[in-house]
Amino acid sequence: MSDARAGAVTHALRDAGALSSGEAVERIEQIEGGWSRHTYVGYAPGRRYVVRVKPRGALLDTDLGLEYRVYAALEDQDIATPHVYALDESDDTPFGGPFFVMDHVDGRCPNVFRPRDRAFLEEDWARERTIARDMLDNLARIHTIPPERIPDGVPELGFLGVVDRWQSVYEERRLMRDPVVEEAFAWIRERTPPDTRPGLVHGDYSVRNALVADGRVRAILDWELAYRGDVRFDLGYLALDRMAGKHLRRRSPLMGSIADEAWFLHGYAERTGIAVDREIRKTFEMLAIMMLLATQYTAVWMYARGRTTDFRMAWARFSFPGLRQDMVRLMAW
Amino acid sequence: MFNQLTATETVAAMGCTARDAARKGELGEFGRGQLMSAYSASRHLSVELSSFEPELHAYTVAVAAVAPAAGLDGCSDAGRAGDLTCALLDTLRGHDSPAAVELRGAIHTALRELVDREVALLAEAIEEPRTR
Repeated sequence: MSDARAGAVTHALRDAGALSSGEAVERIEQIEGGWSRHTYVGYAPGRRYVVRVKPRGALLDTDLGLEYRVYAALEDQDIATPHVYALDESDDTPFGGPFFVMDHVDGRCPNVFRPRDRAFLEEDWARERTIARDMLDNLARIHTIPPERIPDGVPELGFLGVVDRWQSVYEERRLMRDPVVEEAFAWIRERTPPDTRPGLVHGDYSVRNALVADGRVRAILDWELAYRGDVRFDLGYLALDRMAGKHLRRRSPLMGSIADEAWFLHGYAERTGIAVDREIRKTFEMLAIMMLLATQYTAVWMYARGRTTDFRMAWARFSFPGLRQDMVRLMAW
Repeated sequence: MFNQLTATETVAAMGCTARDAARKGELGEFGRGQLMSAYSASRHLSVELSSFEPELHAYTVAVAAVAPAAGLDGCSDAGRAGDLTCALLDTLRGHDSPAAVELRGAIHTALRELVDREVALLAEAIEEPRTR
């Protein structure tokens, strides 16, 4: 099987002009990855590539081809992203699904649930702040991409469209009703912001999806949830206690485990012209929790329905207490 | 408390994970990760099984005291309590009479206390330094 996968990647890279006829990817290794995408490293002499695959039965039914086109569109936008080479959208590949190939970028994605990773990020904040500044700069650039540079096909979702999206997942995937979640959907529907800040939303923007090396952010990854919408969603997401290491208790004093909240929001406003007040941020924090819940509901549902035997999907049921508490606090019960 | 998968279903899932690991023989990174997840689940579940029943009872008593017709009195099943609470809130949502607002607020208070107790119990057991 590994030969067929290496062959598929070689073929794709040769078609893209990245490998000559005499060069080949010789080895494929799967690395630790998320639930909706499998990630592999392909080794050619003197080079490495990353292969992103949408497996059968992926947690979220997101468009891999669109993700590829977002990466391609970002390349000349001064946003830290890897170069992408090739996309194979057929379902019947040696990887078990569509895949694309991109440059391997050195670095590691910090895990905000690990104490030593949080300590590393807190040290950056206390000293050089290069990671914090890179995360701020990249987010500001993402949010100020000219509309005509956002690739076709990126879904456009208004505020209530996003709420509808996540509420439909709750309705379809829940195994039991949750009064806190249902009250939260009612709460947020009454808080449609009076204005909109349209642009490209990453949808999962955090240091967990940033490759960090030598104190710098080398690449922003995981664009599968990107959409055209109100960019303040990404700020709400980054402000979640979960991004500060909370499973049951918040662990880092820093927003997103990377920076003082006031510093980050001030810098963001300076770069984008978008100031976000506390009430607006609460609204988008709640919207972000709903996105997270949707993934958790889907994970447990997939396990319960026998679509996967991956126990991590069943374990997702233990993520609800902490998120439920965050919702209750936002609603000020 | 209104967590997807019952405790029984979760125990069964943990058992399947252990069985699958045993059948595989040598575990790789993925297999070890599966067993560590199952171990983590056991820690959460032990708190749930030993501590949650009185918390659910306190919640249903509190809501039954303000909404006796909701059917929560004596309810000992979290899923059923969730359904009944949702049904009650469905009838109150969108009504702005002082009585409805007050009742909805009382339910919110009871839910908040339940939620905070659940997190506190889990955190005391899971996020404190382990002794074994």
